[in-house]
Amino acid sequence: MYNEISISPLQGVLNAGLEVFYDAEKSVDLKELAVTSIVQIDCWHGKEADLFAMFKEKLQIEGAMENGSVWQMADFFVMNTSPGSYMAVSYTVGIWDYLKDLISDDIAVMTDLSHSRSVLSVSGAGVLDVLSKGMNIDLDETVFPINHVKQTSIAHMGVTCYRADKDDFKLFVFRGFAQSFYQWLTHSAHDVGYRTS
Amino acid sequence: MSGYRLTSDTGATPVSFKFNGKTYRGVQGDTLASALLANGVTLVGRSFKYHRPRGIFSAGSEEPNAAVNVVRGDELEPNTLATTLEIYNGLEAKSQNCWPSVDFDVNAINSLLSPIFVAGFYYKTFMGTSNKHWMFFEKHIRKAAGMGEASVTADSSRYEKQNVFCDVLIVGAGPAGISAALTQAATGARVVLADENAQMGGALIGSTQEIAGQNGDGWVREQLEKLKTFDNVTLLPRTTVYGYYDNNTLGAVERVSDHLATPEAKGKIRQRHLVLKSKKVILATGALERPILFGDNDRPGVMLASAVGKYVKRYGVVPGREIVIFTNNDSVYQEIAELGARNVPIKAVIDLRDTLSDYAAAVKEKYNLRIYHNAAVVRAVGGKALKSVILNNGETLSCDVLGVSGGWTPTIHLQSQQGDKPVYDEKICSFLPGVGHQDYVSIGACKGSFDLSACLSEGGLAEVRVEDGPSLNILPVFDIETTKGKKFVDLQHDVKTSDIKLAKQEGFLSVEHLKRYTTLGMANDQGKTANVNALVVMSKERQLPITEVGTTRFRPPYAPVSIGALSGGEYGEHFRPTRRTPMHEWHLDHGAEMINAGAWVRPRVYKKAGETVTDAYIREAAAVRESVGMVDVTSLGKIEVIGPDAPEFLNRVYTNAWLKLPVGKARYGVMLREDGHVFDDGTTWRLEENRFLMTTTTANAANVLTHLEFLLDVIWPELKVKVVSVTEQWAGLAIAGPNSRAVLAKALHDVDMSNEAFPFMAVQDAKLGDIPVKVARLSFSGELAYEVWCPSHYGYAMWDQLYQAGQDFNITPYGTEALGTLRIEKGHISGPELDGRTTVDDLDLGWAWGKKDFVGKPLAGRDGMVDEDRLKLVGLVSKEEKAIRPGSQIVLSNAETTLGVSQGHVTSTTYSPALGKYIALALVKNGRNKIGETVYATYPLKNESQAVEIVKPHFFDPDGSRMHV
Repeated sequence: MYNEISISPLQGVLNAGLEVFYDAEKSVDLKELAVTSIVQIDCWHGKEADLFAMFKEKLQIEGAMENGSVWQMADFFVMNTSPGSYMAVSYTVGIWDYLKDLISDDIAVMTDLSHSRSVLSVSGAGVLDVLSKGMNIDLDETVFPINHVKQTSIAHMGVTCYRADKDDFKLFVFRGFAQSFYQWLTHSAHDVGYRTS
Repeated sequence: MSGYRLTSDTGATPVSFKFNGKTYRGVQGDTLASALLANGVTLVGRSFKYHRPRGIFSAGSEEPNAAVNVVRGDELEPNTLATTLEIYNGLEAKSQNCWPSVDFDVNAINSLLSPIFVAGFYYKTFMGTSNKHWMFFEKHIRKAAGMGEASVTADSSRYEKQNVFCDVLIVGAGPAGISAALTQAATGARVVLADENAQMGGALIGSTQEIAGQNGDGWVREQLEKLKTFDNVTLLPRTTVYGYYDNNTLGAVERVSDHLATPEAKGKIRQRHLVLKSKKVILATGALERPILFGDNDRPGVMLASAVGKYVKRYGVVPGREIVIFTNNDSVYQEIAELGARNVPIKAVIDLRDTLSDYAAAVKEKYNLRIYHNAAVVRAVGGKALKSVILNNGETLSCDVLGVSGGWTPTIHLQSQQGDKPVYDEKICSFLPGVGHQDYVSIGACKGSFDLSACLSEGGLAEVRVEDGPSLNILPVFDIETTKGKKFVDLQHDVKTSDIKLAKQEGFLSVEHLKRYTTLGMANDQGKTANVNALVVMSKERQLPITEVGTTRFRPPYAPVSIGALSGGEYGEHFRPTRRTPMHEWHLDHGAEMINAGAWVRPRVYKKAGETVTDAYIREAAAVRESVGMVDVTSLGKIEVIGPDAPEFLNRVYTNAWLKLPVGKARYGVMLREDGHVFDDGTTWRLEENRFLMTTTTANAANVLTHLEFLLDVIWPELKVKVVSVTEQWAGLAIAGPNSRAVLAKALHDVDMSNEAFPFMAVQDAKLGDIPVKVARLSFSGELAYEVWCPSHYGYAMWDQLYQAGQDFNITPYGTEALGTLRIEKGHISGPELDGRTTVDDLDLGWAWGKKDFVGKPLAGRDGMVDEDRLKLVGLVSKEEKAIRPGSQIVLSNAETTLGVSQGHVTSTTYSPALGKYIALALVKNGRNKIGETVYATYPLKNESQAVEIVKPHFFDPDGSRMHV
């Protein structure tokens, strides 16, 4: 439960404090992340460079425009989920109004998806082992670097996979699939062990 | 056969197991086959067709005979190879295809009847003149033949799938594979080395052949230890790579805990299905020894010569006391030397050749071998065990093991699977890989390099000094002319040389036809030891060279793959994911019986005590008509259509007009496929000047989004429009009934619910406590009704608060059954009518046909699409007060109930509490001109038929007055 009226799809399913064959050397930590705001930003054709230039200037992003990059700001992060398409996410603040002021309608359009996704953090020594059971993506760091995002499918469910660190992934799934996805996750983590928080 | 264990291995850890109910002892590391041989067990199974006694033929996955049933409590796993099954304490296995026991098998009488059990026997004998003949005989044939007994209990083991990416995949951890792994590992590439055996090392395991100053066994152990020090190398023992697919993708099964008595921890998986994706593939799959054909060559005790060597070298088990070797090549002399080094005596060597090579001569001299030159075994003698062999000179040699070596067949299954056409090589008398179609190389024995130094060199270790081994020096003799005894080419399927000859006589000349007619090379061993010999027999019959006879193409899997491994974790609740609405728990807590709607799970009915489904939906639908009800509509597809060209885009997508829809209003729309058939329908709301919210049917949500994306990306890229799925962003409910307005007026604030302020098809924002909601006055039920949507996380609270607000009006939650009842009463179409074959006019939606252009319009005007005789949407009322079965066919008279020409079919049915009648929607030929006629709804599968009257589809409140109040 995020608050009295805002209820997690994993309420009663992901119970903190559960340990199943947990071993820090090989297991994973599972945690649901409560999201305050998710905004999808879709760039008009031919305006990709303008949007990125605006990001660089206003958000002080460094580096070149690269598919799959994730940029961290103080209160939120922006994931380049596909060419010309971004997902801005905050765990703490609403960012719709801030971005609305930032992004003009002739560059991109925005859609509020704050309630559409369930976000699970999967981290720990066994994370690559567990994720490779569902993700048909090479998880080697040279192929899937830290601070990058990839869109994939796990057990027939669409997943936006953000690699926050070597052994730390944030998985965004459709809210309606949250329970099924969590069941897959615990099933797949069963042999390496897991704990929840 | 009286096998025994070499005394030097008695220090190993003992293991107790059961075979056919009797307890035996083996040692850790044994396969079931090696343990049975050590215990002197000769008879392991019965053959497929003739039920002849069969023993252990090989020492690996090529085994055609020793397939057993493994018993795990109530579970059975058939066709498990004794030659690859590692024993563990408590293992229980039993012979298959025999009754009542392997020693006394009633169906062994088949062997006496074998003259009539020729190739094609079943087809020729039991087909008869109709299917009934075969249906009668089939069950008896299946009982008498067959391959093991399948378990009827659900498999309780855990399986999983895993994706593995690497730079170099090496299949086969023999000398060539290990050599390649070391070479590739040094480059820093990510290397995966997979081998089907528990122990890596291939032919070098237990070998005394000298490599780099030490014996082969020591050398290979050292190299494996070296490989383990590389972080970039993954070793996968017990992993069978069974299939080679496009883009260097290979399938494999890792037997994770099959060899463990109790998995190390609860939850340990049994087998893991691996999907391997590699930039480069190195196939070092080795070669399999093949037998020579002679009379009764299937007697228990007749085995491959290399298998005799493997049992001695790997397991310290000698398969018999009197071993005779029969060969046409030199490779066997290396095995004889290995046996000699362990003081295992060889009684005699029957060599088809006139002379010996220097290597063979040296072995002969060192171990004082008795060799019969230019000789052949013509027949094996024995029943349940080998007693002797008869030579072509008439001499009989007593023996309990005959090791046969007819040369080597490179294991080219994977190469063949990915498209190589095998090439016959006269020098080795077998097939080699052809031209590769992907980025892979074959090295070692699988490309015909049988020499150890060549294997190491091809793997990249050219500098390693290796003691000379034998050359092949093969004499191309495959089939010994005999006068007595059956000569089995395919031991697993009991295919004899005479069957191949018969197939040829009957015109099955193509190898592919031969295979299917005789079943040669089929089943779980895939003819690994049979295929080449079969081609030789056929080439002799056709008097053609083998190259012109051709060969079949191998298909996956190389070795059997369990269904469990293929399914991985996708069974039970993991079979497919389910989508739950935010109100899911509320529904369950209030007695909902749920039903799947695609991936979504929705309430079907909320049953009260003692109610049937029918009782419940009738009560729920009546409650909506009488007062108010609420239904979860979260599963409807929702798509935001955004951008300055959004109105124009909608105008092109829908059949009706959209340019003038004002902000704050909704409109019903119908969209067509390009071919003119109705694709989907729903309401679309204009939220802002350039932002619309489109709803779709639950079933078509993803298809409609794909359709829209295609149109924008491909057809009209100039339109400045984006479409984004927001299905999961919004939870939705419909509140319907005469008191719906009152409930909302009580619960909502910041909104005027009066008819004037909130007219039909209006959309407004409001607040429900702290929850922001969108309210649209729409009606699927035909009642005064609204849809209320909120961001999904608030969905449960929204539902519960409105339910509480409705208590004064006895608000009734209703499910999909009542939802269906209400819409059928109104004649509203849904999934059963949107079946992909109906047109706008068929569904009586002609009012939505715009004058402007839209997707599907051009092709909707084709003759067949506007034919008057098309099936048209009508209503049906039962004249017999009986439920009308959905799917019933419409016929014109009762005499036609079983054979009449269908005039259409029933799409949706219900009992209408509003009318007190059983009603239905149907698509009937020229239906709109048959209003008032009586026809018959017939359902031949249930032998049901009833008279129904064709009526207009709008059964209830046809002028729509109730929803406009």
